[in-house]
Amino acid sequence: MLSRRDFVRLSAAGVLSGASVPWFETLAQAASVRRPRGKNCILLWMDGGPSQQHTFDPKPGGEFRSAATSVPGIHIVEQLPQLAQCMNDMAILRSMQTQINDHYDAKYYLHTGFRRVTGFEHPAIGSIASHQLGTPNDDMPAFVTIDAGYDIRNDGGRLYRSVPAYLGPQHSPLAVNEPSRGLENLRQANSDLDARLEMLTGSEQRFAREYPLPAVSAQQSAFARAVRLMQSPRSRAFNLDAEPASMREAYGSHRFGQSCLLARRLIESGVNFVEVFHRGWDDHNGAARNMVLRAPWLDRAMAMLIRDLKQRGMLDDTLIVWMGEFGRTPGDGNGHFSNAWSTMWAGGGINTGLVVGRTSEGGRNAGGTVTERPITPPDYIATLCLALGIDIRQEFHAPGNRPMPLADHAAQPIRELLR
Amino acid sequence: MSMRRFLVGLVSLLAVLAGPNLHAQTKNAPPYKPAANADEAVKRIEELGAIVRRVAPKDDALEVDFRNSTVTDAHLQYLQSLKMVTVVRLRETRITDAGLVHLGKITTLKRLHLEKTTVTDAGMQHLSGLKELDFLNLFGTAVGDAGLDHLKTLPKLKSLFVFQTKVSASGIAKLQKAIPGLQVVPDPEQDRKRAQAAWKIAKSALDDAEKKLVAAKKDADDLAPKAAQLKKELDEATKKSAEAKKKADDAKKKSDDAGKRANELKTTEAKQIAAEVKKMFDDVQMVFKSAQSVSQATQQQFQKASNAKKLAEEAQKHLENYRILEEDARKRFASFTRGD
Repeated sequence: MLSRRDFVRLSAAGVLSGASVPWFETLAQAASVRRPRGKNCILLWMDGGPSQQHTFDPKPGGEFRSAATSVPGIHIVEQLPQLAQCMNDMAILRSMQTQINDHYDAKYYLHTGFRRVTGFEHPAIGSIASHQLGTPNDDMPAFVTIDAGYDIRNDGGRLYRSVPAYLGPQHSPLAVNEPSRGLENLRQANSDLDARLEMLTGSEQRFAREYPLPAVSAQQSAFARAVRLMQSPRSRAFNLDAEPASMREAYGSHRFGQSCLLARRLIESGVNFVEVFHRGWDDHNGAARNMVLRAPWLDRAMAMLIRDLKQRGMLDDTLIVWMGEFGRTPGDGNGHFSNAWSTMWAGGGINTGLVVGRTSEGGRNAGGTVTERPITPPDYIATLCLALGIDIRQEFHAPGNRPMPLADHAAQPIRELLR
Repeated sequence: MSMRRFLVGLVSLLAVLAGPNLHAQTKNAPPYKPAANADEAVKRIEELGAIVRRVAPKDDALEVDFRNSTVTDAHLQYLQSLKMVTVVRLRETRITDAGLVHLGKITTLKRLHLEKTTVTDAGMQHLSGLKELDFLNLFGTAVGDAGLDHLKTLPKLKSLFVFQTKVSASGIAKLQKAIPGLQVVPDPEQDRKRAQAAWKIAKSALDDAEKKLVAAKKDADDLAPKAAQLKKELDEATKKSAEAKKKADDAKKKSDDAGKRANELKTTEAKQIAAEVKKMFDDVQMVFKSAQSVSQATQQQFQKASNAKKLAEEAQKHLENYRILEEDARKRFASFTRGD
């Protein structure tokens, strides 16, 4: 294994140059885009599939009226007035075309860039970021998930749990189940912990000597990592009580707002990828009535997250991604819809203040089709990797010595987003 | 056994498992000693718990990330041994104005993060020669207008962060005059304008929600009391429709029988009878259809009447949400006019 230092040295000497795999022209060109590293990501996952026409792609005559944003010519729904004023730092992707209308398979596809297959697992984007951007043996985990709960009991199917697959178990997420409680059991419960840990270490050392298997060292490194986090002063980042009351209020008292604040604290303290998921977006009984109820906390938390990262000088290095597994049918949003839907990116040093793609206007089924620049999940994940400074031309060896590219070879990254 | 000794044990176990990459935070910083070459400088920097990485694949430019390391002012001299250092991150480290003397010599520097350090106005003079610098983060430092004065000589500066510093609006204005195209964050004037725009939209949405509630309430007031009457009418219409359906079914059977007989006998008389019966069936069928449509219309009206109250309640709930949106937007806008 190469250390980082070896890597810098070798690459300076030109040893690690170029890719040995043939690539499609478009991908090779986009991959040469120079991106600064040191990027982080906050993924805001609206589980169940949020309606594009009730958020970022309103249509004339639709259920929600559209309103101007801070960028002339770009309109979003009037229910998100604060967020609309952050449009300069946002990019709306209106032409998602992702084929899968089934909750779980779509969640898998949109988290990995690959279709779900039997007998093989692809790594989730958070685990890829952990592997590519994380600092080995850092006190803080590279990848954290935060459960922001749900308001409406809409069945959005089974929740997708990020899996590192062949990248190794050390790239699994650390899960926070309740943002206001941070990491439970982080503080040691009683004083004999030292003695107990010492005993455990002793017996484990013997076991590791006798059975030098990857799974053993993986388990031990995960355990060591947990203990290191327990002891690190940086674990304070998990404690929202350390944040001034005014700041907690600015993000809103809703669990989603507090999750966004926690995400900011974690990124600030060295976590590379935070996924906040909020459940219950499967609005089969009409998207409008539920969106009105969500608007106050969603608008407040997301606008505050963008503004707060900006004023701290962190927005350039932190990509915010808002999305679900698909959109909803044009009009009332009652059904699943993968044919033409929207996601939103903000910050991250990408090109912002713009809209990528377009959906159909007018007619009985306005917004039913993509009329400009369809974005497939492989395109999407490849672009996300590039935006985070990850070299997508890498290939890994999955179990069975199966060569696996980080991004699908057919991916066409969205170049207009990348600087 | 102390936790510390345990940790040392654990960490050495880990070193066996995961290579020599230890975090230096629990240790004291090794003192500065000059590095003979770039490799040695990288090694020394990593011993502090900092990270040296390439800015992009296939790019010679380097980023040095000192966050969470034990770096002190003298250690910044290592940077001079590296070529093409373009990004230096020093967030929340122990460096002071004295360290900026060394940073001032890294003329390739494009991005400098000094947020939450103890640097002051006096230190800014050392940065005045960084002609490539385009990003400077001073968030959470004691820097004020006097410090900004030293930055006027940075022609490429594009982004300057002064959140929670002593910098004033006039200090920012002066600097922006000296460096065209400089964006200073936060920008209170821009923020105020945007807060105003957000408030305007939220207010218009609230007005609309109020109108919708009035209409929903009117529906509830007008229709809800009629629900009982409509229910009675609906029951009657349903009954009539059912009767008509029965008659139509009978007629259909008769018509079918007559048609069958006409087919068997193939006489003109039988065909005539069949045609007459068929006409009778058509008439009865029409009666049924009209009864059915009356029943459906009544059903719709009844539903509207019985839902009116629920819809009015929902409109009320929605209005409350629009009110929260409007209040948040109004408060934010007010905070700019108050000047906090």
